[in-house]
Amino acid sequence: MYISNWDEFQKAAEELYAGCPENTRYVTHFRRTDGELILKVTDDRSVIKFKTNQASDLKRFIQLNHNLMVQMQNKPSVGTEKKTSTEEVPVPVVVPAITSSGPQIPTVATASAGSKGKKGKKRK
Amino acid sequence: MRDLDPIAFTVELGKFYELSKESGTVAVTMKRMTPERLAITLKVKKQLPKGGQDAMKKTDDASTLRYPCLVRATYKTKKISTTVSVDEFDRFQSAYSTVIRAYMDTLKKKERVKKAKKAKTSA
Repeated sequence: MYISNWDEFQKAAEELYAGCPENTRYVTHFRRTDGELILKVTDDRSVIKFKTNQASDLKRFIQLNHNLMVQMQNKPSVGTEKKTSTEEVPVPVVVPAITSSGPQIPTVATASAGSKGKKGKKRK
Repeated sequence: MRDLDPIAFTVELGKFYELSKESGTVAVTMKRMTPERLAITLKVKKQLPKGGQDAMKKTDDASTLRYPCLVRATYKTKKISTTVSVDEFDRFQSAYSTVIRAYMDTLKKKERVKKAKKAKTSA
């Protein structure tokens, strides 16, 4: 049975797998000459399939590979959560340090008096 | 059927996709390495695949068991297979997705309508 909507397919695939993890298999057919990708999940009782020729489905397809293999291995899915949190660690600390030290460098020779607001005048 | 380690498998899979440029279909199958399947492998190969020990443990709580995953690929009459243990999961997935991205290039790309908006002139 073909399912045309990706989200429905993904949900059905994961449910089908969860229902019978011992016997369910997941098959990917790729016909490169036609640019056609067919995904199939079956537990020998019911079959669900998804067919696409859109490159935009690739990202979701890779994600499905990931999800289904997690289920097959019965792996605790911690990896994905960790990745997203560690990626967004900002490193802007260095940037303000440089900008603050930048204007200070020319005033070093003219001693600390320059920091009281005479910068503008001296540049003239 | 050639049995390979996960990374060598993805390399061979890439070759399959390369060959399928001319004709044919590449099929990739995934399933869990259940204790029954592991027992058969042990009988034939005289050794358990990596991570197989974890799945063979006898516990009452099956939800804590970790299984290797069996992956097979077929192109015409050529067949390869591998078993991916839990430890190798990340490496396999990244290698596999790289292969997918590289070779599934004949899929249609969305036609992007180029926005004719010109940059607003800011005085």
